Amino acid sequence: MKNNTWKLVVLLGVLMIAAAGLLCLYNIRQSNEAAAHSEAILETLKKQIPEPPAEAPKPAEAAPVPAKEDLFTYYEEAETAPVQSETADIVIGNAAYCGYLTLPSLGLELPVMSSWSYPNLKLAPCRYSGSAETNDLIIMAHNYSSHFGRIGELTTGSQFSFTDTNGIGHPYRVSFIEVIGGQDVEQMFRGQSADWDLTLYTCTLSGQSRVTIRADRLDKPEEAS
Amino acid sequence: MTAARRRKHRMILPLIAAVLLMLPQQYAQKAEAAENKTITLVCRQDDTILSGMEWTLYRIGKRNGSEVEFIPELSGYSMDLGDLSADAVDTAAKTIASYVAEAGLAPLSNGSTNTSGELAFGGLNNGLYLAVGKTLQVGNTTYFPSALLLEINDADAGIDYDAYPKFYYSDLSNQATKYTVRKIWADNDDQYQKRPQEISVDLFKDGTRYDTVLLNAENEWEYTWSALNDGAVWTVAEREIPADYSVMIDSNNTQFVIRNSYQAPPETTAPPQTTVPPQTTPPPQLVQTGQLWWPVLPLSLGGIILIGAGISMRAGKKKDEE
Repeated sequence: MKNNTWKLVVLLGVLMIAAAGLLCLYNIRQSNEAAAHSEAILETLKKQIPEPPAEAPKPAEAAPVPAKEDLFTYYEEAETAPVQSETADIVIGNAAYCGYLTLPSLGLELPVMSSWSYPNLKLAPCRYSGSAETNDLIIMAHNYSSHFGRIGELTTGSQFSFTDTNGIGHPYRVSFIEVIGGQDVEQMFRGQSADWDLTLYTCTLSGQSRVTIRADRLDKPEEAS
Repeated sequence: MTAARRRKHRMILPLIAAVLLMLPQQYAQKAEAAENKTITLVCRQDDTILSGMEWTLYRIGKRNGSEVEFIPELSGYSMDLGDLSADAVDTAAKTIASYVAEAGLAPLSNGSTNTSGELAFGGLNNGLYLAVGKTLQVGNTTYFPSALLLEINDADAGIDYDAYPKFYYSDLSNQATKYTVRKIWADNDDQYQKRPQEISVDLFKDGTRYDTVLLNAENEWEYTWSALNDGAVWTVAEREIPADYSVMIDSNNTQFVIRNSYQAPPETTAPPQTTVPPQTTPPPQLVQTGQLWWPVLPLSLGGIILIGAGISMRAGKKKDEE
C-alpha cells in the first residue's frame, strides 16, 4: 500500500486538473449557448421592432408646461401629466424583451429581457431596474465573454446605444467605471438620473463584486433652467 | 531657584500675560469681521425709484450642501423647497415666508428703502435670510414685493439684491376681491393611503393670522374668501403638515396652492417605481451574474502540486530501493 501512495497522489492531481478542465469546458459551452441564443433572439427582435419614427417627439415638447398665471391649472396639470411614455415589451417565445444593446467597441449586440430571473440571465442580459425614459435603467448580464464578460474593457468616453422596442435608439457615453461589493445594493442605485443615466453590470471573476459601467445619455432632453 | 532661572521666568511671564490679553481682542476682531456683512435690497428700475418700501429680514438658517438647515423655530416644518434653482427659489421663498408667519418668527431687522430705493441690512453672519416686503402705493400704482431668499457665504463681503417688485397694479381700488386656496396632493391619487381626512389652513394678512379654515374632500380641498383689496399681503400656511408629506406653497395675486408631496419614510426608500414587472424588484443583494470560474485556478494549481509531489515521492522511493 505504502508503495502505491505516490500513484494515489498523482491520480488525485490528475483528477483535480481534469475537474478544472471540465469546469472550463462547461463554462465555455454555457457561454457559447448564451451567445447562440442571444444572436437568434436579436434577429427576431430586430424584425419586430418598428423603424424609428422620422422625427422622434421631443419629450420637452410632448407636454407643454402651462403658463403659471392660473396656478391651479399649472399644478393640477403637472400632477396629471403622464410621467413617461411607455414602451411595450416584445414577447418572443415565453420571454419579454425591452430592447437591445449595441456595444461597438466590444463588437457586441445583445437583446435585453424586460425582467430578470436566474434562468433568464443564462439566455440574455436582463433589465434589473428602471427604464431608458426615466434615465435610470440598469442592465445586468452574466460575465460570459459573449455577454458582459468584457465590459471592463470599456473606457471612459466609450459610446454605445440602447434601442427600445419603439425603435428609438438612445446613445450613451461611459462616464465612469466602478467596482461595487455584491451586497451594496444602495451604491448600485446611488446617483441614478443625476450622476448617470444607464448602468451595465456583471460579476467579477471571483463573483464577490460587480464591475459597474455608468453612462450618460447623449440625447437627454435639456432640463428647464 | 537660581538667579538665572528667576530672570528667565521674569521674561516669560509678561510675554504669556501679553498673549493672553491679546487673545480676546483677536477673537473679538474675528467675530466683528464675521458679523460685518451686508445685504442691500435695491428697489429701483430705470427711472422708477421705490423709496419708503418696508422690508423685514429674518435669519432662517444656513445651507448645508444642497440642503437647507433651518433654525429650530422652522425645522419642524417639512418644507419642499425643490432644487433651489433659479426657477424654484421664488416658490421656496414663498413657502418659507408662509411658515415664518405660521411660526411667529421674530424678525432680525426691518427698515424702509431710502430715496435711492436702497435698504441695507448690516452686521450679518454667513447664512440664509428671508426678506419680506410690504406693498407700496405710489400715486395710483400699488407695488407687490416678492419674498426673497438670500444667502451670504464665505465668498461674499455682502450682496446687493435686485428687490424690485415683479407685480404692480395701477388701478387698485378698495373693492372686494375673491381669494382662493386649494390643496393639491402629489401622492399618485392617495396610492399610499396616507392622506388625512382634513387639514387646517391659517390665512395671514400682512403676517397676522386672519382666519383658520378646514380643507377636506367635501369642499374639494378648496376655500374661497373675500376681502377688500387694500394692498395687504396675504399668505397661507398648512398648520400641521401630514406625516410622510412635505409642503410647498405657491401663490399669485388671488390664488394660493398648498401642494403636499408624499415622501417615503427613510426606512422604505427604494428606487423609484417604474413599469418594471413585480419580479424585477431588486433583491436585498445584487444578483449573482458570475460563472463558476474561481475554482479553476486552485484546482489546476493543486493538481500540479500533487502530481509534482507524487513524482518526487516515486523518485525518492527509487533512490531508497537502490
